Amino acid sequence: MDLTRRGLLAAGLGVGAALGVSACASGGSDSGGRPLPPESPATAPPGSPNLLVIFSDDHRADHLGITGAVPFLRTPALDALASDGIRFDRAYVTTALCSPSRATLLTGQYASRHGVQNNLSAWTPGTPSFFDSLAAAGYRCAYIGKWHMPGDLPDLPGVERFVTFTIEEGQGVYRDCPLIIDGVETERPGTYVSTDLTDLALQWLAESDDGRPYCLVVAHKAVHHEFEPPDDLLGTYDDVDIDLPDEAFTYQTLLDRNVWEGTAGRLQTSYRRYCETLLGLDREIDRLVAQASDDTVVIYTSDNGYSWGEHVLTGKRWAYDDNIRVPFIVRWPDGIASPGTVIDEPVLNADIAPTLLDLADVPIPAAMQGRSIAPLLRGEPVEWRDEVFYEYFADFPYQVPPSQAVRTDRWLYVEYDRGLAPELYDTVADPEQQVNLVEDPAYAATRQELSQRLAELRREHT
Amino acid sequence: MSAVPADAMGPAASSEARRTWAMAVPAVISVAAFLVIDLLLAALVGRPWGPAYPVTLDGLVLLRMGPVFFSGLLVWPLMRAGGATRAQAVLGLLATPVAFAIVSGWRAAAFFPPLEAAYYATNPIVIGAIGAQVSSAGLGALLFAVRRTRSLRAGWTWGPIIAIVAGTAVTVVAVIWDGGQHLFYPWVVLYGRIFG
Repeated sequence: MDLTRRGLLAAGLGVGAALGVSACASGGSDSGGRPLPPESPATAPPGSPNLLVIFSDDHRADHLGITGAVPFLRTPALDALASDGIRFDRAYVTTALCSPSRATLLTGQYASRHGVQNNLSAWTPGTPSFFDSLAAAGYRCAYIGKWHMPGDLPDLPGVERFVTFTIEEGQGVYRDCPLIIDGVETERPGTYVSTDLTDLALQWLAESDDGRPYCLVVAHKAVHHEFEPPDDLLGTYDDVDIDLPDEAFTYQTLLDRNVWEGTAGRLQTSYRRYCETLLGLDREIDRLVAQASDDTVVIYTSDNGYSWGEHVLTGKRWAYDDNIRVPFIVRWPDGIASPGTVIDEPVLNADIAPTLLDLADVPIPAAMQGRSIAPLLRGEPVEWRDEVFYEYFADFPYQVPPSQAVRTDRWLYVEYDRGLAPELYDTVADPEQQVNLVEDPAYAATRQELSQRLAELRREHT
Repeated sequence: MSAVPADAMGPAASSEARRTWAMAVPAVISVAAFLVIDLLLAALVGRPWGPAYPVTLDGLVLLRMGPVFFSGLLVWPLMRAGGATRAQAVLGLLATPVAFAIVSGWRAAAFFPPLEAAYYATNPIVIGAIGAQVSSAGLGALLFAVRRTRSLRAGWTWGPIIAIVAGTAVTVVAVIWDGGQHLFYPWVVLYGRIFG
């Protein structure tokens, strides 16, 4: 049945895509330069799923209630999402930093290719994203939330609703965050940003419902600093015991390496607020997912993880698991073979763009470096990658050297462009990545092998 | 650091040099305290040895703020009492924040090219530290004047008050108000314009 459907889709796809491209080309633009909907929009094939991507900020992988890693933490909506769907236990980002990770989500490419290498590099106008192809295939598309790439806000082809914020250099604020809705600056007094973005997402879903499937990205500010939970959740975790790593201490936030993370003050206090902010985000995810029909693919992930004391770090950017591993949950009642499954195959944020196109039966551009995870969702046998490549570029003023790393199921090997010697960790024997084996003669061969492999991956991905 | 012995410069010059050094002692102690604490911190961080580790490290981090932010409370009035001119006292007052800036820039040079590391040394925390030192100096001057005259009315002058208010304002904008974001982002944007 799947083959039949795919065959029909493939036959219709060329016509649909051609219509879409043609319509886009002749559709012109509005007064703000935003492309108008095509005059003769392509029609998405019957059965095309809705695509809902919920993208949070700084949410580390183990901070899901369902993992049990943080005994007091509750994330009922995300837990339900995982129970009803699939949770990828080894999901990584290609660069553990806000702007590059966002661009990777949209393009399916590494930062080396899409060019948004740090929080100071702009999105190049005209950079292809999955929205282009989905709109051409008959999807209605919207991007609602944190954009956080410098320069002028983009006119993303095919995006019919674009909501974001530019305050605090695009970081936004939790309360009364002014929004730019389709190019119009809008004050939002009395609002909490996670709730406001969710309201706008729900509003757009209702308003734009014309029978076409949708692709909606909701990109939250939460749980980025300043870690401000909703009023009713503030203090929820005040009385819980916080188990910091051995090497951490309360005012490590004032060290040079951490001081720009916006967490100056007591580490434990910031951490409590982080968890409460996550609780607030979880509540908004529940509202949004509640409207999702069974033919809606919901993907939840984050732009990067976060260190809470590990390696005496507070923040992200490093190649350690705390920073590069993210939650990655997919719920799709109509398509997932075994709900509740946890998958160990390593997946990337770069996989999201090709996955969305694959699920919509749209051809995946060769320029995309990620792979569709659709076969994993459907439980189909597939040859999968057994390692991932990580890259990080200098991001002033953060004292993290540019680096590249390879993460296999057992090893993490990191090379820095300057300032620090390479690092090698056995993540099975040492999951906290505390014992650097790089100078240990017993692991010389492993180091050499991983160094060679890293060089190959660097050539392949950059 | 002069290679010429003090005696060779004559008794008057030697006496002047000793007086200048004596005047500078508070500033030298402040800079030395910062450097010792900073080096100790760098040596101990990330090497937990037991329950005393976090307490020690927290103590060192907080203690380091003393000379960097607040030593003006003593440096200014002691230098002035020791005969320092206003200009000399200003130099003494700024010595520790400047040392902090140099150390910050030097550390940043491990991660950024030299010019960018030099720009790093102008960071908002350095600005905040200078503000706090000015404010502390104003407070110190006021307290010493009151102590000397044994009267709040007689010891009161506008100079220290202006220093307290202006210094505090700089510190608040640089590092306290919304965690210093309102200076941090312009500083980073300026970096992008210079080096981008």
